[in-house]
Amino acid sequence: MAEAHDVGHVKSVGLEFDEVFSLSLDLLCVATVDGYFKQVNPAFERTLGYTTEELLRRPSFDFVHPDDLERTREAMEVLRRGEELHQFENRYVCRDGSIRWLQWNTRPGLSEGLVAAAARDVTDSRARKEQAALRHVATLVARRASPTEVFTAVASEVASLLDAEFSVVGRYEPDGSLSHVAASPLALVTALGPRMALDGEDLASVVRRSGQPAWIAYDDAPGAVAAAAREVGVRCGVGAPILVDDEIWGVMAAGWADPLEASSEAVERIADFAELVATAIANTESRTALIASRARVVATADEARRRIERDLHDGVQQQLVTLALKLQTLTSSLPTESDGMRAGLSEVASGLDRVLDELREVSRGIHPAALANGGLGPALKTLARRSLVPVDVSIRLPARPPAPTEVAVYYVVAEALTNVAKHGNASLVAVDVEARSGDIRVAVSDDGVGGADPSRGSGLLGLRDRVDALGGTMSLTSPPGNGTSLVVHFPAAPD
Amino acid sequence: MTLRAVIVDHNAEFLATASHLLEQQGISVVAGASNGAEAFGSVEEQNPDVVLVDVHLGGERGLDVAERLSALGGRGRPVVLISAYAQRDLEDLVRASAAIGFVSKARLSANAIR
Repeated sequence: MAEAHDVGHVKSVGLEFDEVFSLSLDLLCVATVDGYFKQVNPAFERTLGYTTEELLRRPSFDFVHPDDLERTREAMEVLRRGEELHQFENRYVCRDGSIRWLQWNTRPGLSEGLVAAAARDVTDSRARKEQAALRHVATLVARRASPTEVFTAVASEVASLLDAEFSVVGRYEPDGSLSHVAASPLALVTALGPRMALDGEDLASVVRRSGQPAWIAYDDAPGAVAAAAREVGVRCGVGAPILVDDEIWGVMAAGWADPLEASSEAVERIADFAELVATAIANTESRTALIASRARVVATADEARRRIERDLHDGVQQQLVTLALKLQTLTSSLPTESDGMRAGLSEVASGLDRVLDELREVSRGIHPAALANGGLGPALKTLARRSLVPVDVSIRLPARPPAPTEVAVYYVVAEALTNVAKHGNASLVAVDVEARSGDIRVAVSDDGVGGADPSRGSGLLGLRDRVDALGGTMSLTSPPGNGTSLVVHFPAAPD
Repeated sequence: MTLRAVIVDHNAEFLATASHLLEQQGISVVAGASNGAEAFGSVEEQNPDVVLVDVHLGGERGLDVAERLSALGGRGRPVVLISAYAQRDLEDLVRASAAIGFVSKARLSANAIR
């Protein structure tokens, strides 16, 4: 009856203790290391809904969430060895079926086989912490942060939320290795190296094989990764696949020194984060695909226009020119007395000339000849010469940009010059085109009245579509009285 | 002295018509060529006073041909670029090229070349 004696010992402390024991909001108890409550305070009834009688009669494991049973048994082992256990968290199933998270501080009792324990209901604070972390990442995803930003945020949120020694976002490479795209702490990436071969029993390998969230203990696991984990004191980990379009893209993993931390709940949480990462990746991929497809549409249209212009030039225009020359030859060989005939032919020649001029005007609208033949330099100078407002052109390009960019730059300058002539009351325009580490920056600035409304005019809107299609950016600055400046950036062409 | 010219243009009909017209106006068109390679042969052979080169030679750029012809040194010949485009469309190209001038095809005449 040693147990009974010990329980009695607690009781014998006196009235004051009893009152504290009853009033405590935290759950206080004495239990045996083989899993029976010997004494519980009223907070147990209030929190879990079972009667004290029920709690004392059934094994305490009966009340523990099935997914946490194994960890709880291991925790009991620690206590059985006479060690203390701090901030151990597990789930209890309440009488009404709801689930509460309890955080335990437990210490071996004065008598062998007994423990004194205090637990706090941390259900709400855990949920709040998790919600906050998920919300932070979801916000990043929603505002289209770059994948790198999302990966980094996820890694650090997961490490802090799961109280893990580390967390990693890894991507499966076609060569069978894993590349580390983000980690917390960051130093870990440096330690792991940018890539890791997957040839053993580690989380990344297990998750890739199964396509499912997984849990692992590194204690006896074979392979270089498991060995490395042991070396830095990591004994267990959880991981979840990052699935993008039903394909396994990568893995989200976390690891602990304390083997009790890798709970089924940790697996669930990491899976939630893996899903957010997947959404961020899918978003980016579809956005990239959209930009590429718009670029293709624009490039196809430009190519068609270039071809039409070419066909007009080589065909109709060339034939008309030849006809005009034939006519001229004919006129020159007329006998001097056929003046009437000469006048008639000369009229036809002038008509041909006008048709040719009109045709050239149409061609110019379709695709600029100077651009196709000589690139941006001659093409922009041609535009400048035709402008009603004097234009200063400065071009600093090491080489001809890709055709789509070249055409876009041309239309940006053409549209801007048209607007200057229409609205700006300017006396001078500066056109500046330069390459900056692969990017191309185009600036068209005038000294006119300013106050241009970017939302006005379909010309600018059309330009924006063209610029967007190439992944570029466009900004218009036009303070009243202070001139107008249009700046467009085109990124270096993707490979 | 009669001006001797070689015309380089990939449109055979234009070549014939232009030669006829220029001959009529007192220029001796000593050869016609449809591409850069033929042009070099003709220039070597005929040593003309001037070479008229179309800006578009099918797949070839007339500007490149003009540059190579002018770069022949002592055996090089002055090049006048021709095109169905108007002068104002190609002015800056021509200015930056090795050619000494430009004549729009529709305005082709002995006077324009001289």
